[in-house]
Amino acid sequence: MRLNTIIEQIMNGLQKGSVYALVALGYTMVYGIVKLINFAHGDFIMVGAYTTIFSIPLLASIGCPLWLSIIVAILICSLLGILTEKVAYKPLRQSSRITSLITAIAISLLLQNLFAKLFTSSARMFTQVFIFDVPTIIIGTVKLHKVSILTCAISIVVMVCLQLFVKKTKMGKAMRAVSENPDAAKLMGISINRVVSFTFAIGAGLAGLAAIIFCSYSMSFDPYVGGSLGIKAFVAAVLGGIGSIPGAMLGGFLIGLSESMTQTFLSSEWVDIIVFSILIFILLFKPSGLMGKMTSEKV
Amino acid sequence: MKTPNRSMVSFGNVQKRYLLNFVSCFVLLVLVQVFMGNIHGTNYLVILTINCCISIILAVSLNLTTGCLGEMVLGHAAFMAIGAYASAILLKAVSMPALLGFFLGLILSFLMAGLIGFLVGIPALRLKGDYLAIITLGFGMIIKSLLEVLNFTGGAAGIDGIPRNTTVVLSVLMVMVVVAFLFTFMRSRFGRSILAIRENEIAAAATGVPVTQVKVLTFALSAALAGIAGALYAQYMRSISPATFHLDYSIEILVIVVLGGLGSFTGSILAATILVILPEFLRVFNDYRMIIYSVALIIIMLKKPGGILGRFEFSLSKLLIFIKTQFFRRKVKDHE
Amino acid sequence: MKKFFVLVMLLVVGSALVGCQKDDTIGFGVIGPFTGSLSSYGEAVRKGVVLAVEEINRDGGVLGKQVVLYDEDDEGEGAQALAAFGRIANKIDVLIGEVTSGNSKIIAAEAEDNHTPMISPSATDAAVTEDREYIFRACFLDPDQGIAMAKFSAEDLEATKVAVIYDTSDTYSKGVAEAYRGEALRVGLEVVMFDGGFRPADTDYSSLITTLNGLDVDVVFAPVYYEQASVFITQFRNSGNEIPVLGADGFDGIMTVSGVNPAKIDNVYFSNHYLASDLDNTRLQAFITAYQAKYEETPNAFSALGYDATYIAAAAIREAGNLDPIAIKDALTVLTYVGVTGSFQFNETGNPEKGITIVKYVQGVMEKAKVLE
Repeated sequence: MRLNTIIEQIMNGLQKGSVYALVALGYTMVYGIVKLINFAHGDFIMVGAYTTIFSIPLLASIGCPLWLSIIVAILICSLLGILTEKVAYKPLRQSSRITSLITAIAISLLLQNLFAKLFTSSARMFTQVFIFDVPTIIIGTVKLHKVSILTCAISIVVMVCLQLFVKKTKMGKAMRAVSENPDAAKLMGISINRVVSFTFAIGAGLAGLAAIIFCSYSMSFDPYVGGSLGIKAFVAAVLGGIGSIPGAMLGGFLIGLSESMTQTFLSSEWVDIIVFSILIFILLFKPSGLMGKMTSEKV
Repeated sequence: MKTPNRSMVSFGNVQKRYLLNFVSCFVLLVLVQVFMGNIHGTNYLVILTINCCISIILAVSLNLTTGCLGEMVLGHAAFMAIGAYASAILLKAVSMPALLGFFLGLILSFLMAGLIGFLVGIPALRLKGDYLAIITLGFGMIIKSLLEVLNFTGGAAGIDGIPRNTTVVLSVLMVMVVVAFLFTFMRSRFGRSILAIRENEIAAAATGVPVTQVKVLTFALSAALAGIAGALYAQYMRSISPATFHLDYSIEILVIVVLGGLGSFTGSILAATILVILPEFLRVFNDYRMIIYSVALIIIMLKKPGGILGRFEFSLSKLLIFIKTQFFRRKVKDHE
Repeated sequence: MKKFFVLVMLLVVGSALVGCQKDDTIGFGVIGPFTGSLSSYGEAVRKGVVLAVEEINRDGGVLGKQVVLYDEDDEGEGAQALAAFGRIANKIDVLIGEVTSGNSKIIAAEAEDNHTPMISPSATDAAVTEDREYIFRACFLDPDQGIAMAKFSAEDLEATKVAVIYDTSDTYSKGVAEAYRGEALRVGLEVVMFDGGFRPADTDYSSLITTLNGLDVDVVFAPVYYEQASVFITQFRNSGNEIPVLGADGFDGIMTVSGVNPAKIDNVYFSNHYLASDLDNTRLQAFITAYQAKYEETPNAFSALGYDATYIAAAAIREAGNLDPIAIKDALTVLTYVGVTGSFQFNETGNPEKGITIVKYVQGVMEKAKVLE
């Protein structure tokens, strides 16, 4: 196999991984603060995709630049995240984990079926590659698609911003405090509700961003894309260590790379098997994930 | 400190209770045979009943790990798949009379699913909570993918032409056997140690419960019982393919268990039955059914997070005692 | 709690007993995934069937009686499909269904036992009709298309090396792909790649396309359904690769995908039942016009097959002269019928001998490439 093919495949893997990474970031942020696996997270992306595809003609008709649809998608997803949290997760903060999980599953089902009813379950193609409509760079005999580089770059930039935000800003500190010890945080005057809403807003907003990137290279979506994407991203988050921002990034890229490498060197049929085997393998040797922290249980 | 489960407190003559339950089960079985046992050809009620039975067995078996042991499992359908394929492969390879085939298939499914459950459980149960859920999900996906890729499982087309050995009577019988087994099992010392682990794992370990062993064996048992459901399914549908045993199915079963009440077998039975029968009535609303279902699910989780029945368990003897005391109270009231 | 159970039992028993068929109507059943992730295919079939029933009734019905259609959704689940059949079994004379091979096999076993004639519009797995007397289908078998396209690749496109990619989780895709490979090897083609590169729910084909671009092949055979095909072909063309992309009847409907760019759908060949723009086929054009008038969308092969399956059922009943299942079954076994999706000649296998039309997409427009009888 030629070197340039391998490099291209690596880029493909990273491109795929960048979406997983962005979605995993959303999962991990929410989980870190609220200890909830938001099963509906993948479906936020689906909502983002539909928002984009409907806002483009709308924006065109009122003469706005098309890239504003990205902002619209992020906003709508953030709002959806906050709404979901207020309606379905907040009342269950004191309940068992599994109750919240089932509620998250229910929201996921609701979103999927609502959109299937409203917009039919037929796939739609997304070929508006406004920003990403750029030619490929050719270095020697290697074709590098600008899309791949752009998506990876966006993901990394987002992660860095997020990490800085969490470490340096006041709200970030508040989020870390709530994650460590909600009761102590409350005593220090931090409003749990605000922090949680903010977290969901960011997480869901990330899903909105991920939706655009997802659309740009997957080119097609239907009401059910959230399911599979959500699972892969969740696996990525767990792989990297759930609750860790760099971990989510690492996990996402790892999963993306595993997929493309398996397809290249082995056979596409084994992709799922390999990916999940990697997950299981890593969890067995480092149960808290690659970059996760071991928390010991207190009696 | 949680109060001990009421159904765990035994009162009344144990042998009398067992006899009562056994007789009522026998009577029910006879009724099933009389009303449905001799129906030939396609019958809607028969199909529904068998679908219910399969769902019930899946629900109660998942309840064992998720409700009683308290560990969330997201790959239950995969064990059903193993059971289904085990039966299917056996019965296509060796032809034998219906009843023999049924029970041999069942035993093989039970053992195979249990074995895989055991092998999966050993590594998986070292993890906790959400990590365990994800690893069981991973195993589930791997098993489904393997079923599609491997040749002897027929690939995506699956296996066709399996003899129909499952009958209504046999299905109901298996439900009774499984449920009776689980009720008795949970009353045993092993069963109590399962509950102990759920309540407080560290305390249980401190009192000498071999936690990992109990967890793995429970998980394996739960898988084995799901295998039984798979055997029933394969020998009823006569054609199986990997597409049936997807993650969504595992989630469906989990939802049934949670709705019924985590830890309550009665709840699982009730929820499984309702969720098989209800869609049949709501066919008019088929377009909106899933939307209504998910909204209802959210509402129920918000209002009654413990599920419809919580941890309540039905007991025939307690019901009779209840009726007797009510009867006596009325008599006393009349005399006053 | 007890009262609830009694009520439920009564209702269930009641609904099973109620609805035995009236004598002055004929019952047609259609079962398929009308909701859920497969609903685009199930709904397409259902719409074709509904249109056909309307037309038949408008033209006087069958044997002077009106046709009543019982449509039952199964969400794509086997257990529900069986229950759906159980619900309507004693109300219908003929069943049109199911849509997918997996559920068709389940219902076929039941329908055979119950002596209900069944015509599947779209199940391509051979096992559906194998060794069964009452089960028929309106579509091709997997091997038919695979073999035809392999021959076409060798003879008409003069290919020497081919790549075959399919969807492992789909019996149709894998079946056609394997048939293609078998025939390709037989006629001397070199199958450079045979990979399950299409995975459901993943429409990013960049890894696959990178691999393909690194190969020296003349054609790519990708027997998948139109929703995946439209994306794959677009991405493939975007990567600069212009070699012909081949498919099977699943490609019919590529142009109906919302947002597809016709310019990208070029140099694509697929085996199909008909050519939609064939103006000589008046029956086909009448169907397309009626379908567009009723549903405001273009029909695809699924709708056309559902439509034909219904008319075939009606034709068989007319031939039989009565509603006796054995008579209907016997009539179906020897039926000759000319429909929208070609001419059918049935035989004891339950599978029709049909002509194949190979269609070419040129900038999104369909043209006739070859007709095989």
